[in-house]
Amino acid sequence: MRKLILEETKNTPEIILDPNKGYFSFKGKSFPENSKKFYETIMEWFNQFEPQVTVSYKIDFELHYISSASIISIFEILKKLSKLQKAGAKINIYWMYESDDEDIRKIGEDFTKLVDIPIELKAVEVQ
Amino acid sequence: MNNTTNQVKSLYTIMSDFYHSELNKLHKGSTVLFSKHGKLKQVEVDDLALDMEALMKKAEVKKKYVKAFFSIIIEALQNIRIHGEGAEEKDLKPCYYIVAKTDNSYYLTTANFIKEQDIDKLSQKVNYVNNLSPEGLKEYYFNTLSEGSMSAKGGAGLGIITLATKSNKKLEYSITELENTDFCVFRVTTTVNLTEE
Repeated sequence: MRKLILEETKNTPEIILDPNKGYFSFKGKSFPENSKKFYETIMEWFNQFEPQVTVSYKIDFELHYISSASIISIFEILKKLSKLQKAGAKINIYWMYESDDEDIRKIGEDFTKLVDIPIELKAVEVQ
Repeated sequence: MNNTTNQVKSLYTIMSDFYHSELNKLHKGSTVLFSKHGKLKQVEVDDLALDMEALMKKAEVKKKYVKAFFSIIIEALQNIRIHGEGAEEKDLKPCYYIVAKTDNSYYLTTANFIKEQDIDKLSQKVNYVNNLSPEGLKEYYFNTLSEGSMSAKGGAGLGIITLATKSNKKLEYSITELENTDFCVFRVTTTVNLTEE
């Protein structure tokens, strides 16, 4: 499985999907107008992804702004990760928010109630 | 020039008239920061949100209000480009926006065309979110998200709800029917009041 790296743009986050290192990350702001189209590439990548049983995968979400359409797309990704976990993959999800950022914390809390996979909320220092 | 071009042109003129009339009746003590009427490109939406974020940070506005207003700009203007009527092409939809501030608030007024047949559906939705308590709004948002799916136009049904959630005042809106056309002007003002929770 090939590594996928998308560079950060004005309205999309940096995305790194590195299956060999067992590390995935979403970092930055996410408000593309056509969120479904932007995240299609990511969904397709995960659809083809076959987790190794010997690897523990770490996923960091470190998003500073997420539009309502992007929230739906990330929800889809989390549902996909939940399915992979049910099929036996070891996946640890970390949802990072700046300690004074209620919005991002609340979005993370919503996801913990909506998807059947543990999501660890982590407050980080304000930069 | 064909009929469609004529009609679109006249819709821009109508929108321009509404824009100028709006500028004359802004809230007392308002300073206009950014405004435009006509067409709206995606890059203009992004730049407006980022410019306002920088401006509010410089003015040392609390982070939660800066983020709320960023969200309001994105949701309101993307809504226009996705759902606005009057042209097929997103880049050609006639609209206007006004970003203004008073001593204790920032607000965004936008206007776009809607179809006459959609008046009831839209006004019911805005009235519904306006009448919910903050807890009720949160619950409605959560339920809509949990059923979440993207429409063919790319909307998630969360735009208006998000506007209401981010604003700490009711959404002020009006729908004006026009003569000789099936289009109406939908205008909405979303406010972030810096003195309220």
